[in-house]
Amino acid sequence: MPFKPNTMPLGLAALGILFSTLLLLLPYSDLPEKDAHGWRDFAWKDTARLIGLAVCYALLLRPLGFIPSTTLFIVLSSRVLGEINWFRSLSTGLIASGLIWYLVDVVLGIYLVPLPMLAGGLP
Amino acid sequence: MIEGLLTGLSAAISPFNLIMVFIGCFLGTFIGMLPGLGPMSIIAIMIPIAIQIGDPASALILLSGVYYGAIFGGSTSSILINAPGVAGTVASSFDGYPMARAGQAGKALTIAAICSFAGGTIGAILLMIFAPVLSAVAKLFWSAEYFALMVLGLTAIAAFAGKGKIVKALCMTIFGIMLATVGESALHNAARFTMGIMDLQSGIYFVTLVMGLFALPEALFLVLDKRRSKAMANNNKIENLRITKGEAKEIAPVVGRQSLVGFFVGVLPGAGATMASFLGYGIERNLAPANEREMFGKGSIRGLAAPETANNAACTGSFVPMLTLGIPGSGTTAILLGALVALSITPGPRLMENQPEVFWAVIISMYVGNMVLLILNLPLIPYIAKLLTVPRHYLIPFVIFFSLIGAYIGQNNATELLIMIGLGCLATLLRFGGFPLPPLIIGFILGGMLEDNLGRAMRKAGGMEFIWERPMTLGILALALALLIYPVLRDRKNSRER
Repeated sequence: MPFKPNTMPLGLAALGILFSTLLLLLPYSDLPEKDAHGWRDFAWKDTARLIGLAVCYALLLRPLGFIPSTTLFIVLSSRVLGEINWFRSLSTGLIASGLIWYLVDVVLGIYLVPLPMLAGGLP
Repeated sequence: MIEGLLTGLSAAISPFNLIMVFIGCFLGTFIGMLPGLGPMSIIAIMIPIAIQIGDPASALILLSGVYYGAIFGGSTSSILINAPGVAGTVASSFDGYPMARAGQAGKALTIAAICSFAGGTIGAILLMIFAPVLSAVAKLFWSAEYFALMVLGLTAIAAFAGKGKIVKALCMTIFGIMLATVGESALHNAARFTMGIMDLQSGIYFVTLVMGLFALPEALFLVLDKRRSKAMANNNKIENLRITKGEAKEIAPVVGRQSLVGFFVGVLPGAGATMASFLGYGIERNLAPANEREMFGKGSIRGLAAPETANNAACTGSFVPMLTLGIPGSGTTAILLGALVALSITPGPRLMENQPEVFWAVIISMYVGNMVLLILNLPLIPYIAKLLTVPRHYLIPFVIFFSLIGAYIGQNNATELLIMIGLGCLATLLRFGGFPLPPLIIGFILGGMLEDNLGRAMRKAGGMEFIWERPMTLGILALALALLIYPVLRDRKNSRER
């Protein structure tokens, strides 16, 4: 029996079908998760906003540069979670992004585009 | 050997080399705490500096210090924010993070520091005694035995199979191995499941997956469930650093056993700290009394002590094949091997004879390095644990940010971040469905090596015959099956009795 690139995936698929069928057929014996105490009690809107901000951060990191995009992410996400002081969130965002950029780029030598004009993105 | 030891001792405790150990441990701990920067990347970054030093013994001492430091630093982020940046510390988060959430962050870090010290030190003693013998045993292992060993490592999932979750744990393991098949396989150079996305050509990046499965859902759950973040805010006291006599008695045998397990697993090329930590965790869960077993995954000190001891002992063990055979025992030692070659040292059986000062200085520096780590980290624990006192509206954005940037700096592309966010959302839903996530990561980590060794073994034997043709392979596989089935039968029996 030769070992081909699809040998392992086919074997895994067979096992996956077997275990999924067992999951459906066997009596449900799990205890309910501690966290699952009613869908309405959860803060879905805030979570969706944070996921949206994370997606925007992923898309803007290159064109906007590390420091502006990180500052923006920290400022906006802290405000989503209840921070009301603009100055505190902005200064935290700026100091943290500046320090982390310095550590990663200058100290460790891993290149991170700091500002938009260096990214070849925004003018 | 005594002469060699004395040579090594005089080299390792020279003021310059002591400074090297100190700098290495400090830098390793500090950088290792940043998710995404594991020992491999830190050592790779430090290689040019080590080469500049010139003296091979000092350079290797510096890099070894970075290695131990990074493993300890990785444990810190695993325990405090459930963001293991290194595969070897994933198992530490299973019980370390629940301990931190229960207000025992200080104690968890103290246990991690002491167990790492004990595991590393016992490993160094074992290295000194067994290095020549073990290198001969490791030579007997063939890809068939490695395949069986990977299957044995997968049995660690049985630890998450309690309360009827065995099928869900198995489903997650299969899903993890499936994710490991994305990208080009090492044996065929054929792209699989890339969906035309170039960034998936080299597979899913480990840090992306681990951040998506652990750190991001944790942050999302803290937002979703306000009661949970309130409980975390109430439990962030860190004065409880001391381990009681009873706890010390409880973890002492674990440390003894797991130092041996970790060291011997570490010696086998390719196995390494990750495998040792999972195996150690599974073994301790099986050995624990019924009431303590229930605590595994919920904040058991045994569950934290086992992987912490085993991964450090395995780090030391992985030096055996590197120094005596010239074979890297793990990805990290592969980079160290490259550094040795760059320093004009030829690792192998003749290293002990030709350059005893290098060989023994590295071994002695392991004792010194572990001592420095303990001295450095124990007083720092209250300050490190203060991370948990950061207000919720800053802690959560920073956990998400570190997860994102950890995945980004490893691969330098935005696709990785989008994959991570997608995995994070999926993991959150899986948690709602009661699917255990650690088996998924275990499957992913061991999946690549499993396929690689299975492929080699099948090619050599012309099929699956190698399983029954090689008694050692059959024996390991039988042990794996027993380890998987026994806890399930025992749990079922216990629940029937109740």
